[in-house]
Amino acid sequence: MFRTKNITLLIFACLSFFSMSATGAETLSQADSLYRAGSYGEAVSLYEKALKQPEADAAIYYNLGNACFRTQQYAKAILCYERMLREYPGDADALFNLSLCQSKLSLKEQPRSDFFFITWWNSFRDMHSVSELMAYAFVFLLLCLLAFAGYMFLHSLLWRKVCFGFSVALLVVTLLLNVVAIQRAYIMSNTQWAIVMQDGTLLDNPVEKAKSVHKIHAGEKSVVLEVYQNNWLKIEMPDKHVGWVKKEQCSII
Amino acid sequence: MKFQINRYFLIFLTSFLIPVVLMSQTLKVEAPSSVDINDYFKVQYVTSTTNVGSFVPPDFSDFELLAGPSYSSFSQSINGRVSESSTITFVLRPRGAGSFTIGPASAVVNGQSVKTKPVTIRVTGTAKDKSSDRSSNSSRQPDNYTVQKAGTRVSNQDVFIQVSTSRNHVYEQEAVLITYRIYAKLGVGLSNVSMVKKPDFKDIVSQEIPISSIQTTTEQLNGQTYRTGKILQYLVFPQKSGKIRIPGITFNVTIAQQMEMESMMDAFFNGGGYVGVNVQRSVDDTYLDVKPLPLPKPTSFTGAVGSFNVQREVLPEVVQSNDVATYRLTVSGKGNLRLIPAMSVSFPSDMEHFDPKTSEEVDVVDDNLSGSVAYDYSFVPRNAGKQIIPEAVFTYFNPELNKYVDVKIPAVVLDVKKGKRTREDVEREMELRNSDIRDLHDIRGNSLLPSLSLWGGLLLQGLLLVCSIVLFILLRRFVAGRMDAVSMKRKHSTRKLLKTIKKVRKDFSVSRNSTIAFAALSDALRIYLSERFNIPLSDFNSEHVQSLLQERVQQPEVVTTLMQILSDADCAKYAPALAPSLNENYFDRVVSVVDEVEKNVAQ
Repeated sequence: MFRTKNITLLIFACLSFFSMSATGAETLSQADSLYRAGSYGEAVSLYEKALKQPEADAAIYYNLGNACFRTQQYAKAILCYERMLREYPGDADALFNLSLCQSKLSLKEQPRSDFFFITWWNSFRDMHSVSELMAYAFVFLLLCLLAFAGYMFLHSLLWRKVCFGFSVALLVVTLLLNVVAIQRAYIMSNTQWAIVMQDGTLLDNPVEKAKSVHKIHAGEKSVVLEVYQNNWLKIEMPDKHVGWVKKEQCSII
Repeated sequence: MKFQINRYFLIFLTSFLIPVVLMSQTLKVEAPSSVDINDYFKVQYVTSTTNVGSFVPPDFSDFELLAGPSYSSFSQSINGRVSESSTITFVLRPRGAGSFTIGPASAVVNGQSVKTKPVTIRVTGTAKDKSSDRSSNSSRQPDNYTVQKAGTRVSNQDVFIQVSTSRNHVYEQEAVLITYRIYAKLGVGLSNVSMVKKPDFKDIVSQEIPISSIQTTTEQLNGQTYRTGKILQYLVFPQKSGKIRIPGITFNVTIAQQMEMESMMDAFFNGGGYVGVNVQRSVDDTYLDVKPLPLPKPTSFTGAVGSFNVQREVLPEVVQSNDVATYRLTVSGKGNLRLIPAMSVSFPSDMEHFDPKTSEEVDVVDDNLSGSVAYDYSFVPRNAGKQIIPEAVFTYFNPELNKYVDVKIPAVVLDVKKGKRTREDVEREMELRNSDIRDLHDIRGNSLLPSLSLWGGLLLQGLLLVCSIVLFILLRRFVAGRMDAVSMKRKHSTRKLLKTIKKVRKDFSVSRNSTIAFAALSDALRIYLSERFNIPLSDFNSEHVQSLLQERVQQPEVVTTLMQILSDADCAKYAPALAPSLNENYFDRVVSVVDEVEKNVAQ
């Protein structure tokens, strides 16, 4: 009795899951065809509807970003691409469209570190998801162990030397990959970014009449440092200026 | 528990329904107690049932009836309980200041005849314009204030459309506002107006001004009161001088006429007791008298007509070499803003520049366009240093002053800083600015590859590491075991050989039979060699053994001696006469050769 009950529950759960995903896919294809027909505004609202479904794929944000771009909401498009890139870092299309939106808003490229290695390290980290990094680390560890096995069980002295060298190098790569993955996971869970949605100014205090510190422009990506009374955000701009803005001025990625 | 909640919820719901049921046999009047003389207001009769009949409205003669009666009914069913209401609305406007009483209205509600209380409305304030102050107008006809009955012919005096232009004598490019107004005699129920066909303007740039809903006012024409409202507006800019025709437009007008109904119930079930009557009304062509712009036109004049101001700006504030910057000219003011072509800016030869992009923030204000248009010229200074964008003149024609006006745009002195970017960067950016976004993605659910969390990944790596360490240890043990077996066998074979030699020596000293002794020695040596050097007994021939031994044993003389002993043994077996004599020395030689082999064998 108990078992049958469980099974029916399971079937119900499966059915509801399938029907849900089916309607989600329908909404998406409808939105795609609206976009192709040029009704971008309606496509935007349908994509947003599709994103409201539980467990919606963050990849939908890419298409929403395109629809926003077509309706000239560049800051919103940037927000969408950034949200998509959070889950799928390194997506070439999204990165391209993002930079196009930034150029539409006449935003400067983000300043990068002067040291080549740090730049390279950071961009490698930002271009890969934790999942990808862990998969790479696993593969490299496997190769490292194979090389080590060669060192241990081969007879020829030359081959043993070669295998040892390889195994050490692969071990170093594996360790670096793990460090990058840990760093990225830490950053993703401890940092919040926000996109400035409209031009405005940074204030030196979280009050309406505070002195303005710096101009901010729509589409800029900032780091959220602090939240005050759920109404004010302390943000750091890419050019390192820090100040307060009203929560409505920004959207968190 | 769930049941209980439901029950409480029902009780909760029904508690709302009870007052509705109790209220069901009343007719309530809702009206403001005081109104401004220039405002219109609503008087509503509300009952909580749809079963209403024989509604007799009160006398509204102290007020002007703008609309009504209009009926609306509402019915809703919650858990089988039906709640209903119907509303009869009149829209009125005061004729004059003072206190007025609206008498009782009566109706049959749920079979009972009911009456409302009279309401008193205080009208305050003073009338704004004389035409609306018609309190003294006693010659009005009462039937003007009721809606036309169905079947009445709609005459040209009842409904007509007029067109007006804000100006008739204009210059080229000067804005003219064309307004189409509908006039409907009081009592004619307008319900819809639509254009049959959009006009086809020639030699005119036109812009339709959207009208969201028609706002009506009352107007006095030929002793009759009309309701009138804008139905269509065009802002036009003549592009040619001379007589310009504005083509007439035909409109479809739908007029609501009241049907004769026996009761309110009939009205509800027959679409509110109204029928729509369609009539067409046309507007004749009108003409604009367009003057040419006075000659001679200044050379700097590009076609701006109105009154403008120009501002220039360079973005960003600090310009760097090989960086895309923007020179923005903003033309603001009133006039043909959308029709002003971009000025040509003479950038210094060192600067690469691109066609301007236009962005406008323009609205229709009164009878002209007002706002600003920004022309963004992208430019790239190639080298650092002082650069000058020279001053320029923007000339427009002001039709009010009847003359051309020059606006000086001062020169911009740029101090171009040395930028970090290269020519390629600029080209990349310009290419990016001129490209389109990549196409939509085909999203087909989540990918099949499971995503790996940090902890999952670390755990997997740990598992891999542990597994391989275990595997390595096992393998190593297995290999070591095999190595041991081989070396044990080798040691054992040497010992066995020496033992055999000893035994053969002893036997020989007793029997003195050299043939048997040689045979035993030969067998023992063969077994020894096969075990010691892993040579299978099946391919045991002397050349093979010799070549193998030469590889493994460092001293060739030892191998030669060993091979000699083997051939001596063979010799003793097949040709005993040729065999060397076997004695103690020979045995010593054999033992010493085995020792030498053991010493010189390469591991």
